[in-house]
Amino acid sequence: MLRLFFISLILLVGVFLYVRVESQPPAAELPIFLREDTIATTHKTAIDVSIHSRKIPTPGQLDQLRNDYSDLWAHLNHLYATNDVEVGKEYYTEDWFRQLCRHYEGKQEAQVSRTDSLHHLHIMNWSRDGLVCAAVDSNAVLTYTYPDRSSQRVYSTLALVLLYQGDHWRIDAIRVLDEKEI
Amino acid sequence: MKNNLLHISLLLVIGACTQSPVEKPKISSKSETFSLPADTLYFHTSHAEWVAILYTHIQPLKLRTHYASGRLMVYLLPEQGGIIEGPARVALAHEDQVYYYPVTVRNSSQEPGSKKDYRSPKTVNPDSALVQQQIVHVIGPSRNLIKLPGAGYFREQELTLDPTVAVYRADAGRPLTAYYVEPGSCVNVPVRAGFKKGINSFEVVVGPLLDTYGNTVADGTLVTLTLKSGDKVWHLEDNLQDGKVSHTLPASKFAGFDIQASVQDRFSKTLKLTI
Repeated sequence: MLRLFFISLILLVGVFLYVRVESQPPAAELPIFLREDTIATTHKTAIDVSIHSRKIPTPGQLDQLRNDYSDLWAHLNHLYATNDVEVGKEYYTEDWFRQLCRHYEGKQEAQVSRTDSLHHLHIMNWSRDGLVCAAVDSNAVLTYTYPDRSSQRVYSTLALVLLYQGDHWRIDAIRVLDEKEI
Repeated sequence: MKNNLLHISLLLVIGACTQSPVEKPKISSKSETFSLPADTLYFHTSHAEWVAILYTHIQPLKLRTHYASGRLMVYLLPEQGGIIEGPARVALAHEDQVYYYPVTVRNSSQEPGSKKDYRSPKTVNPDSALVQQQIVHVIGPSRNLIKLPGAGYFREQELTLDPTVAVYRADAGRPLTAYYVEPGSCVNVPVRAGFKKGINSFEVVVGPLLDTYGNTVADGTLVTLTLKSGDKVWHLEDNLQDGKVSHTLPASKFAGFDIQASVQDRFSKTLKLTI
């Protein structure tokens, strides 16, 4: 009799645990370290870095800047084509993200697409704590492709402020200094 | 013959279904630079149904359209907010046909930018250096970098800080821009001892301990009192509080002892505890 009681108790606890686990709603969004950033991983560009700042970043810091800058451009190009503000938010500061969201009226079907093939990143200021980078991307080679498959290549010169937040560099501000057709 | 007729009629049907291409609307403004939302872009076109998108350098945003008597007005609503300035493209789409117009856009309302003043290091100790790196730039409300007075978009300089211990702010209105000047190490270790007859004890006071700039040395700094009498040595350790440490030593036990205070590598003069 006692054995029967224990078996039914164990069964009851088992059923209770199963129901508890099953009734949990699935996580709406995976944590960042579990997400695969396919936009960034499939993107390739050449980044040539030159340093003009008083504080010289370490080779490790430069490697990370190169990687993050490449990933940032992957997302900027995706944003340019689709206005999908959400997917690249890990590469935007809060203020930058707020600015993008002001013009968010839903994603749109990509018509014009942009690719970047070469950047000349001139580091103008590098903070001693390694958290602020002001840079000029001189004559970045960008290609715009239109729906009729025609394309336009341009040299674009940009001044940028990048902030190291979380575990990578994020864009905080920009000034498009020049854009001329190649 | 029958087949030919069939083919001809099929071609006629296909021809009837094919739309004639809409002529590219002609932009009527002579200037290619537009201040938004103040300026409206005008296009001459015979079609009323257009979707207008402005591709700034960063993102596409929907423009509003209004068609009246052969003229299409394309504009940005003020409540849509500012834009990233610079070269851009306006796309006019009518069903599958899309036309692009290169333009330069800027914000018509020139709101003052917010000054960003980054300091590094955040905590400065006069023992090492009072020099702090300052990186300055100004960012507009729509995340456009704004030229600094003088020239350029970025400024960097080395600042020599006031050595007075305090919590300072690079921008007075923003607590997040706080930086700290901490006290340095003490220069001298003053010590005094007096006999209190009522309690038959010596009162020993070490301090006030000050750094080279006159700041009170940080609370918690370890102060050691060394008491010597012949071969006997006692060490009393205490943490600094408001620049001072005080001890009451019974005269019955410590009369005739030599006493010296020390903080790290700094030593006070030696006093003799006498009644």
